[in-house]
Amino acid sequence: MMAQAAAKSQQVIAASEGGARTTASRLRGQLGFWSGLLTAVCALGFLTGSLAYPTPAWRGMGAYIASFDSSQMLWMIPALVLAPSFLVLMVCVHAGATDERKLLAEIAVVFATVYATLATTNYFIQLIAVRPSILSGSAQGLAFLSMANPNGLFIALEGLGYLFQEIGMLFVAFVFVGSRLKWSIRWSLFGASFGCWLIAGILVLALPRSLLSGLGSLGVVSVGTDLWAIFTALAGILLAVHFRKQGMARQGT
Amino acid sequence: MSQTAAAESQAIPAPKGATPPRTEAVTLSAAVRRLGFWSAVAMVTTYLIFLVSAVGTLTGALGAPLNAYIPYGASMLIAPSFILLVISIHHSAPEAKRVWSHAAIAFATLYAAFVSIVYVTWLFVVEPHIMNHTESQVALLSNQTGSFMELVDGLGYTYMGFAVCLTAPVFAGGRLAAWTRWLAIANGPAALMILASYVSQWIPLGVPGTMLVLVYGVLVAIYFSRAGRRA
Repeated sequence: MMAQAAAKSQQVIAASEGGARTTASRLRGQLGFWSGLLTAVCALGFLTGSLAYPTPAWRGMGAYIASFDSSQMLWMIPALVLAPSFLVLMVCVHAGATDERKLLAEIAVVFATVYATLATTNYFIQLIAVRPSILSGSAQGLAFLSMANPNGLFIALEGLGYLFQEIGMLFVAFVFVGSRLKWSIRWSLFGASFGCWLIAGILVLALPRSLLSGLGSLGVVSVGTDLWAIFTALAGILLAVHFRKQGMARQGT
Repeated sequence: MSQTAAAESQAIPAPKGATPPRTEAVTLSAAVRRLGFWSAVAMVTTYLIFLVSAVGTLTGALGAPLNAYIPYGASMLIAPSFILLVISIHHSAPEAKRVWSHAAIAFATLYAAFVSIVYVTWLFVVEPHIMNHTESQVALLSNQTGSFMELVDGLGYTYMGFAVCLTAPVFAGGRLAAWTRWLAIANGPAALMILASYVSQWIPLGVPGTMLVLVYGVLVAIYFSRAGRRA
């Protein structure tokens, strides 16, 4: 009698643990899908905004203020949203990683956290402090904060932020192994991490300048940035498909 | 756990003269051991480069612009290696102690974010202006004592000390682990002294914390190296 009761209570515990696991994985699937999709949309939004309204070349603060138009900062809005979406996406990848690859995913989460901190601070300063100062005509002393200044704080923090993001992407790429979809995710993450810079270098050397300028890009940095956005969008879409497939497989069982 | 992972995971035998562990058995995968060891080596190396170049700068042995590039560059590289080290420690911790090492990761991330902002600003924003003799344009971001950026730097190192302190419970079950644990604990008050040194602008207050983190890095490198040799 006692043994039967004990066995029954164990069954109840196992069932409730199984239920909790299913709920957790369903939540992971949903969060992973939507954050992957949002990552892709934001990366494409960034690309569209930066190509439509490119940042003018730096000729001093006076010239920058004279030619300033708020639409030049439009690309920062999707870039601002990209940071937390990408972080949530990395947390979902970490939650679903196998035990032996959890370490790699955790490294990606931490690097993504540093990236999100740097990027959101940087864009928020531009949108909330620099833009109103320029529009109100009180930005003469803010040259070091201008996004066009090659020796300014914006470029320095942006470069560092995306370096951390790309290091994180490099680590998380190794989490995906097995199916064709996982290999595609891995290679799109490689592309978004450092592959984009390698391809950009080759393209700048190989393609005629007229074609590159037609695409709104001339140097390695701008071509590399455009490619980064394309690979990030691709990785986001593939990860969304990956999480949706996981969710559907679970529903099927 | 998959077969590959099971084959790669091995228990860490206790170092010589160790008392039996009081907590559950710790298993470390080869990846954690390797990452832990090499990130500790990277942290110690960059830390030493920073210390030597800082002494060179203070004594005037290192001239411009190297007196900025080397110490700031080295300090910037300490941050990612420290993050990797703390993550490795987290993955080597028994389940019951992971709450501490997880908290350490959070503080290490804050540290990395803060000091990265500071060093990238000093290296790529302030230094070019100094070289062009236009430093007055970036006075707000300068590395002068008591400046905004210097206090952000101080806060970063305070968080680093707290992160080290929070890893203390992970180290148990041997002489090396005991030394590492006590060094980690000592980093807690030393971190507060670092913050005090930045606020009071009295450098000697920060010396104990600086040296403790370095020795801690060396001991953790030995810890992971021994784990690898005995596995």
